[in-house]
Amino acid sequence: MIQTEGLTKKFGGLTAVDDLNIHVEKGEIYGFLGPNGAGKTTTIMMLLGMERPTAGKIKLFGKDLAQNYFEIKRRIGVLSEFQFLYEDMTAKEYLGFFADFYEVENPERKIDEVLSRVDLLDRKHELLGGYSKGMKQKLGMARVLLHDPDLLILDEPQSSLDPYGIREIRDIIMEENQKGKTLFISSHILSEIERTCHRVGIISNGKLLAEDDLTHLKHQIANEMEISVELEGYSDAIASSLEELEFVTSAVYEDSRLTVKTTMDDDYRAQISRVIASHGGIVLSMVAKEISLEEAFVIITEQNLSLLTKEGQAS
Amino acid sequence: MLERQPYAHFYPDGFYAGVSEILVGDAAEKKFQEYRDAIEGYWQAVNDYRQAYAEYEQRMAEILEEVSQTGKTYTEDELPKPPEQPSPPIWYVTEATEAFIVNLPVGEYVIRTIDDQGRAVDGTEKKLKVFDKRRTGVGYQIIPESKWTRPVQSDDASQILYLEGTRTMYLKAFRESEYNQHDYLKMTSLEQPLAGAGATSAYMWVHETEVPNDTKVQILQGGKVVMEAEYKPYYVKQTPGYALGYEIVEFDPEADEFAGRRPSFEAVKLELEPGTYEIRAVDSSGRVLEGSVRDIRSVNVVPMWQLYVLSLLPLLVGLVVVVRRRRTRVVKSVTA
Amino acid sequence: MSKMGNRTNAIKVIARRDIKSTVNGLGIYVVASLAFLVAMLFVRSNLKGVTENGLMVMANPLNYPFFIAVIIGATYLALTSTMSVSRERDQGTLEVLFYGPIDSVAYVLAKFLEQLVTFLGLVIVYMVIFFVISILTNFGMDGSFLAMAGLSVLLAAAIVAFGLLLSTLCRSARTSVILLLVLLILFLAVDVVAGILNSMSAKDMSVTLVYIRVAVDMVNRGLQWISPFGYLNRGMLAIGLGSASLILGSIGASLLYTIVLLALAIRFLERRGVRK
Repeated sequence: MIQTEGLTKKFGGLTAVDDLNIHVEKGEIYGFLGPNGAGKTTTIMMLLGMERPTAGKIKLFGKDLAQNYFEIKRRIGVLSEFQFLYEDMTAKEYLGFFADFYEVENPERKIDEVLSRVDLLDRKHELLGGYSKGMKQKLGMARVLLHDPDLLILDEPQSSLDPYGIREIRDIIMEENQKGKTLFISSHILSEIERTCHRVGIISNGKLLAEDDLTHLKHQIANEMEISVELEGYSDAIASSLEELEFVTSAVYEDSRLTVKTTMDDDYRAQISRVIASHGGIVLSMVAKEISLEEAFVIITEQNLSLLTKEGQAS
Repeated sequence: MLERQPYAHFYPDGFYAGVSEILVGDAAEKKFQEYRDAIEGYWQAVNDYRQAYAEYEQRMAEILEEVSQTGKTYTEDELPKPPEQPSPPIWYVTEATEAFIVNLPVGEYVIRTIDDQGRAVDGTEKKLKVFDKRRTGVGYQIIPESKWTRPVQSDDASQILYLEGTRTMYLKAFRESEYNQHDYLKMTSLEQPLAGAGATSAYMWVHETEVPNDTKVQILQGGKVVMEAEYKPYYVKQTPGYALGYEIVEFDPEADEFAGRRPSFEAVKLELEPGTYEIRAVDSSGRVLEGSVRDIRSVNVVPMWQLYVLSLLPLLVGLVVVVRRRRTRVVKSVTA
Repeated sequence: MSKMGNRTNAIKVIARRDIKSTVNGLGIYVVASLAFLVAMLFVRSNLKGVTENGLMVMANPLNYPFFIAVIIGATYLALTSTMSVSRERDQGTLEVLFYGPIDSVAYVLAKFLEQLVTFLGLVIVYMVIFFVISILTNFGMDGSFLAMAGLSVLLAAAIVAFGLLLSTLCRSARTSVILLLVLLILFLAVDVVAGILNSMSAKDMSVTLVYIRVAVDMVNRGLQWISPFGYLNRGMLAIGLGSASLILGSIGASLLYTIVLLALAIRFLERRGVRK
């Protein structure tokens, strides 16, 4: 769906994007992550043809943008980080304009449908100048959905939203993906990325450092699973028995909690429970804690850790 | 390559009539000789006249002496008649001189003189620009009856004569040509080198000759000729009292009141009621002179407030539109 | 859909939106009334001239007031298009538009078309009101007035294109608006001053003034090819001379001038980009 090859952008002496090779498959939700100033927005602008690359190629839907400009633009929906609206229009007029622009069929019905999805239907006759930041963000989403694009490029789609709004947008993202749409999402809310994305690409200082599905990415960073057990009737025999197991790397009891570290190749919670029970312990709670995306992101970007092979593929 | 040639100006109607013809070569010298012969003939006639007049005076003196001495009477037929004073020739020819006669098509040239070796003489190279008129037409000098000393001109056929109420005016028509102002002034105002400076984009109408006196002016309304006026001589008569101060009357050379006087001007008189007209000059064969058509319209003096109110109409429409739109939006947002 | 079809759709949608916004706003009506009020001052002056002297010779006394009204209207539209483009860029809405099926060609042409259509509406209103004035005053309306009305559309096209070019060149809305006003006033002022100086006889002028006339004439002749008013002057002259070839030539020159300005505007918009 999206493919870049050697994509580079220089502004004078500054290299904003350096030899970027990203690949987004059809029907997936791709998270595009990076610290501030990493080059995410510049990359998105180049994908949309609004910044000319210094070098490299871009293909959208397998086609070159310059050769198929209008056809491609009609199939993309873009939500920018900040919403720029015509404040003297109402929501209905605003979406009506874009419905004309994209030649949407049954525009009246479609407008009501998208406004309903973002919970703004009862505000459609109000002037946009009176909308809050969150409402503007949701209206932007409505605009993106209006022409039913095949590819949605969303830059911070959940910023400025309250928890209800965040959930609404998440639901929309999942619904669209279930319809077969491809989503390219750039966001700093990593918990949401973790919940929604199939694959992520991590960029820092203009370079792509990692591009992989979440599980594999985390496995590359951390090779242990930490299981925290709250139990009754602890004895030292439990810890020593656990440590004898081949998949256990350590078992430490501290502050009424038993922390067991295992390898990442399987889920060993059942075996651990059985060992504890065999020594008379009673498991009150057991939580498997794997490395979060946030932790992985911080490690990768702080250490400038490239998880890509020389050919730019995930290792 | 041009050679020197003799040339002369021939003024058939006299120097001040303005119309001249250039004669070249033998014709110039021949005509000048004719003129000299005519002038010599005139002076000879003057001499003969003086002599004859002296003889006449002497004879009259003898007769008066005889009458006073003898009381003899003479009838009118018996008295000698005074000799007739000769008239000088009206036509005039300048002395034939030699010059290089330039008669080139419109364009820009460089001219210079060359010596007998065929070499260009230093300092003689000059630019020469030959230009032509852009348009020709018929212009009018319009003398309003109420302000006869302040005539107005109408040179361009696009100009319209606007009148207020019933007006009497006197028209003089003349042929005119339109020239580039810079070129024309440079040519005609040699004593003022800056005359046409900076006027390269401007054009001016130049009055040439007055139309012949048998030209008539037709007044049309709705495409039909309603009146035809011809050239007549007029005299401006001063009137006693405060009103106007003068009266313009038709000049009759036979009338006693005009004895020894000359007409103030010759023109076509138009007396027009308020309305819309068209005028045009026609020659003696009835052909319309090109460029002589003018529109004449009487203006209606409209109170300015009417025009200002008209100007405010768009604003009124705008206010209605804006108020209606605001109301529609309020209704929609309330019902939503 | 073809590229042409896409562009046509984008032009139509944006132009329609902007026309609606113009018609629903008060600005155009205020400007129209203001233009008429200024024009009426000249009409009043002409009427006064006739009534004071009883007789006056004038060429088309409604042409100059109409010309003034056209200048005011066209300049307002050029200003609004300049501000509209710059404001859209400053506000970020231009970027949002370009997420969609629109390119620089379609955008510039949409803005141009919107102003032209609005101006056509304005000219029709002007003509109706001037027609009423011509009846009321009996000044009359001849072919040259209609020709001027036709030429005024070309003038407005040129002025709007000029404004669009400046809006794509300048970084901010304020700079482009100020530059547009300054340049238009300069062009008009030089033209008017040249006309006044040319109408004076050299005998009545000091040597200094003659040389000023020479300098102004030179500047004006050069500006006649850069200034939108120069193309109007050429057109009116061609009509006055009744030369079909000159008329066609002046229309062609005016159209070419407008096309060149629009092409430059498109180019600069592509180079500068649409982002804030």
